[in-house]
Amino acid sequence: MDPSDADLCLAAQRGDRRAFEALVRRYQRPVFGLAVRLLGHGEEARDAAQEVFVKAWFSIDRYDPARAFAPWLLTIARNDYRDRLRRRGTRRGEVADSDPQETLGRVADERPSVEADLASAQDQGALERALGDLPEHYREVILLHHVQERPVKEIAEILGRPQGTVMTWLYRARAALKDALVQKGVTQ
Amino acid sequence: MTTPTNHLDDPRLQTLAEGGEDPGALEHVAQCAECAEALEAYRELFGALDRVEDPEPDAAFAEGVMARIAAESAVEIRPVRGAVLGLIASALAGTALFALWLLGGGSLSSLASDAVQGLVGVNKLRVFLGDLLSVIPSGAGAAVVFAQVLFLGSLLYALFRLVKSQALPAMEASS
Repeated sequence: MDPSDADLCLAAQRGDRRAFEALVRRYQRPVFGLAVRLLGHGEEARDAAQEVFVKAWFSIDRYDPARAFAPWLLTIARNDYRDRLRRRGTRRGEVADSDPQETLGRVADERPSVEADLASAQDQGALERALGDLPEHYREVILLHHVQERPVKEIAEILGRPQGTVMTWLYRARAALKDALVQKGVTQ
Repeated sequence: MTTPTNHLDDPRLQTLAEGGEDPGALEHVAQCAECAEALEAYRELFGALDRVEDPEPDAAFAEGVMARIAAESAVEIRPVRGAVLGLIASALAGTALFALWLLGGGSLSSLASDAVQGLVGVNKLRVFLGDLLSVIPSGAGAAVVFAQVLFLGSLLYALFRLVKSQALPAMEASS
């Protein structure tokens, strides 16, 4: 049986790098996924996602193993990516080579299951582009709730916002997505 | 199907689309083409969102993270080592100074004398050092003691940091 997050974290707090590497492998996908959707460019997203784990390692002593590991890690990730966006000093879509819509469109197009169904791939590509058009905080809640399947309570913890605010953002983000897809003729 | 004037709001439609139970809303949807269309659009959206996945990082991602951690740990250890060596040297110098003061003309010199009385060689050294250090004013003793306490505290802290900084690579090597 795989060791729990808490066991791995406790071992990591004692300096066990192999335990931490297991945590990296367990959470690399959501951390990288968030980076790609917020930062866009593949190389910067990779660098940022790796940096998140490096920061987590050097601050692992401050993590409370009695609490869930994922929100703690994703909070580090989200703050780091936001800092990068601030430092970059650009708003979403202004830099051509770091366009998250383009990156995700490519990711959607490259998925084998999607290749098998061209119409579905086009729909997914349209959805990814519509996701990329959302304001950052809407994109975050959609990604965390629908893609990473995190409960609203956990998302509120990650974003540092009340649950009611997260719910409001979620409703509005879904409504914006639905309208965008209806406009593009993807849904009714 | 009729077209009621008060349509369902987005939260209620989304709750229905997610499979939530709301008999009143369902009844409304059954009579309202606009809300039925919006509900269907939400169902399609949720279906499409279910198919969205996080992209997978490359196979070397985790190794890259661990390599960065190893590199940054090494950078962290180097200045600690330098500081430790400096503190050890300071502590040794302070200890020697304190010993000289104690054996020479300090306020505790009589106790020190008794301790080394039986040791002829050491006693000769003590007398020699006493003559040598008689030039140190007795008022400087307190400052020397204070400095020594400071040095010893620094030494203990430095040793603690040294052990801690060496422990991680050692643990890694043994695992």
